[in-house]
Amino acid sequence: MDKNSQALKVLIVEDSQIDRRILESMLSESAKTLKLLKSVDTLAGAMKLLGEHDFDVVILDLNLPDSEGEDTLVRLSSKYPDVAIVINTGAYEDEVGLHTLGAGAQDFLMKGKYTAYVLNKAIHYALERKRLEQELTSAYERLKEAQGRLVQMEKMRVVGALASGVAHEVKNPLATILYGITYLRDQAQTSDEKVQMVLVNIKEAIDKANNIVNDLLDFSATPKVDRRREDLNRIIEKTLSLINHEFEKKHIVVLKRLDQAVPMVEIDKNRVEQVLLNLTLNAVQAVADGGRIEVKTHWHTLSDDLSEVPHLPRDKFALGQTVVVCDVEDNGPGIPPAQLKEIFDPFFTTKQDSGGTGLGLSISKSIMESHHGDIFIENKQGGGTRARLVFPLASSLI
Amino acid sequence: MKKKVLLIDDERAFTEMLRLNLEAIGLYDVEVENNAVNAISTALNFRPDLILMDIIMTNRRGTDLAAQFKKSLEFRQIPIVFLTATVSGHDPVLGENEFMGHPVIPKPTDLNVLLAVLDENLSTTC
Repeated sequence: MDKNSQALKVLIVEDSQIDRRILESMLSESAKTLKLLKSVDTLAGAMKLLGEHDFDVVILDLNLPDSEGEDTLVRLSSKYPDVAIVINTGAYEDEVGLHTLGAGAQDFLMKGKYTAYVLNKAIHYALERKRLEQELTSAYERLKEAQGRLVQMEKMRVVGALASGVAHEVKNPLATILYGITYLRDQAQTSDEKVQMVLVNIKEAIDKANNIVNDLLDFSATPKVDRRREDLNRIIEKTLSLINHEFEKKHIVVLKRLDQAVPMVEIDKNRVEQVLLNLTLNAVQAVADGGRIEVKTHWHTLSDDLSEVPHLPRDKFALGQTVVVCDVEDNGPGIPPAQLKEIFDPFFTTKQDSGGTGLGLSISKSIMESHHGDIFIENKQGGGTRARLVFPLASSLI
Repeated sequence: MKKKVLLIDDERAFTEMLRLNLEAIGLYDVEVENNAVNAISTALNFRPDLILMDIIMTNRRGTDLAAQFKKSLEFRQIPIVFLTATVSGHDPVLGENEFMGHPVIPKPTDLNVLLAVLDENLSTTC
């Protein structure tokens, strides 16, 4: 909203009583544009008031009983970055005033050298500068995000381009080795345990290498999704039953909180199963023996701020849209914040030792994107990780 | 009588290994053609009951070759099975392990699975 045309909330931070009176009286001359005017003589007092009221502008004296110089400005603006600040410096402190403009202030005035008119103008200039600064910051943030997405897409493109060539060059020799050892096993007919063990190990190595190349192929394949109306709860039940043995092996308690009222979603059953399998196996790996995994479904009709489901990007989801959500939560140690940013990167893995290729979550993300949905992974408050799948309802897919 | 299997694939080592395995079973007569360009004439000489064929080959695409076999009077009834290293086995583009109406076996695949596919396709026509 345009702050220049609405009534303002102004805070005066000034320890000299005379200066404070001058400011108050000058400001009251333009009383019709003032909604709230408060004065305080310490930085601590200012911080407290800023926490209580939503001020538009602060007129700030730098030298206060509890804070001196530029430090006053830095402390205030770093705690309340959204408020516009006009510095009210002592006379003949031009240098200081100018310097504050580079340190977060939007304008400065010199005591005794301004009129009500100049003060009023300074306040409005400061507001306008603050508004532009915020717009610029947010544009910069959006640009950085867009650049991040571009880099990500480029990575995916490179991997995709490599995949089928690598597959051809690796899977052919693997097939040759496989039939080679098959022949040796059948012909040798040996009961020598060592020879048997060698053959088993070679076979396992072939399978492992083949799985990695297959992951790579699946990752690069443009998923041709075959969408049908499906009951997400049933797909979840099926996926969980597929890996029941993994739960049992680690004595994991699996809690299902599936809202039976969630609407049918238009999805590719096999692909979504693949995503769920991925998330659940990640959870299995994350928890300790006897750990807990909770799988939930719920659904929401989004209001204007999309607050029902945090983090939803505005370019994909909108007011009035209905989304079906599936959460897979575990009580493991969570994900180190530094890694959270990278988990969807192709080849990012923390499971090298257990044969992770770092493609599981990248594939999951591209599958969710092909459904016009989204996937989020975050640490839960109080520990553990939450993986969240969001599916838009069919009627809003157009 | 032994079934005649023609193996068309430009990976020499692979065709050798597969031939050894198939011949060791004793149920198949195997002919190998490593050069896709010669595939038709080899097939005319050998008269296979089934053609096992790679898709990505240096000289010719297996898919083109399959189309040519299916157009010819001599081979239109002969089942073709694709063998390829460029699919994962659950490749969405290829659907349920089928391509152009022919079964697809990803490389590598366990010999038992390959034999099952061979037998199934040999039994439907012969």
